[in-house]
Amino acid sequence: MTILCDYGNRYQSKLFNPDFLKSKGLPLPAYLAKRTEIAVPYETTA
Amino acid sequence: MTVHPSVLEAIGNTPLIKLKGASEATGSTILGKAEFLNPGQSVKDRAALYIIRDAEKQGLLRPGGVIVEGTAGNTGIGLTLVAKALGYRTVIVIPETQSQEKKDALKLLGAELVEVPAVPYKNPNNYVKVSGRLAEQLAKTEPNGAIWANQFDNVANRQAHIETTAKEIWDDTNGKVDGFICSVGSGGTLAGVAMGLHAFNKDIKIGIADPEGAALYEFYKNGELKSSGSSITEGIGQGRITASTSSNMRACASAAPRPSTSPARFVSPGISVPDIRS
Repeated sequence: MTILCDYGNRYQSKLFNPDFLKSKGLPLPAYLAKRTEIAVPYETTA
Repeated sequence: MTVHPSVLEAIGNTPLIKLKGASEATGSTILGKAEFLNPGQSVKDRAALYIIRDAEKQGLLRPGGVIVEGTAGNTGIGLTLVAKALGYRTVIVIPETQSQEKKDALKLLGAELVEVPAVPYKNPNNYVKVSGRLAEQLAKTEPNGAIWANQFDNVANRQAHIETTAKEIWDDTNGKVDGFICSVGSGGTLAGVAMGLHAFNKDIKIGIADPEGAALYEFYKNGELKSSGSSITEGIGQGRITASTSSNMRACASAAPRPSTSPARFVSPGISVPDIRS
């Protein structure tokens, strides 16, 4: 049993912020570091 | 004692909250259904759950499969929440002009973000259209399937409200609800709740709270899809008849109280997509 206190989103600028984590020498979770490699299907427009 | 087997069972069954100021001002009991208490903090969790479950039933998704949607807000959050709970991935296409807060919220939930330039809906590179093509592209390559959630024209969105939202409102008011009103983005909430409530009692009045100058207000008032001006609202102010609203059009039109006072006063903070569709 444990407590789910809040959404955590009020810590976005710190605990979930890559720049903040880097500044403290803390590891960056993969899901925050990842950039998409998906090719976007743009269409040529006039 | 209730133990939910997953976060998905925490979606829905939201309480009705009496709006004191509005009730006093009107002399009627005005209730608000607290959809912000859903796990993804918006009404869109319901649509997300039904859209994904519907795709599973059709055999379009297997564990590890991908859900694609063009959305700048709550739908992406709801889809990602449900997807992650069920072992799927989401690819969310958003206009790059969206706020950092929205991008961060989606990323934190584990969505894969594809940012595209913000262009009007008629442009083939509008984010909603890009998301449709991207889903098609991924459906060919993803071994576990890829679907386009397509909240605007996917009637599973509306079905969520027929089966859950409307029934909850009916049950929690002991069948005493006289009328229901909300704004329209995809139209899923309004049409679904209207259809669900009308199955219990066809005399329940249904209204649309549309920003002044928006197309649906004109449509129900003057019979013409015509919009004018611009809007700062996000996700509401639909310019076309979506699949969610289409088959229910007549019922809505006849049941809708002609908005004689300006519906522009009803500005909803609910967010799903930015108003760049025209």
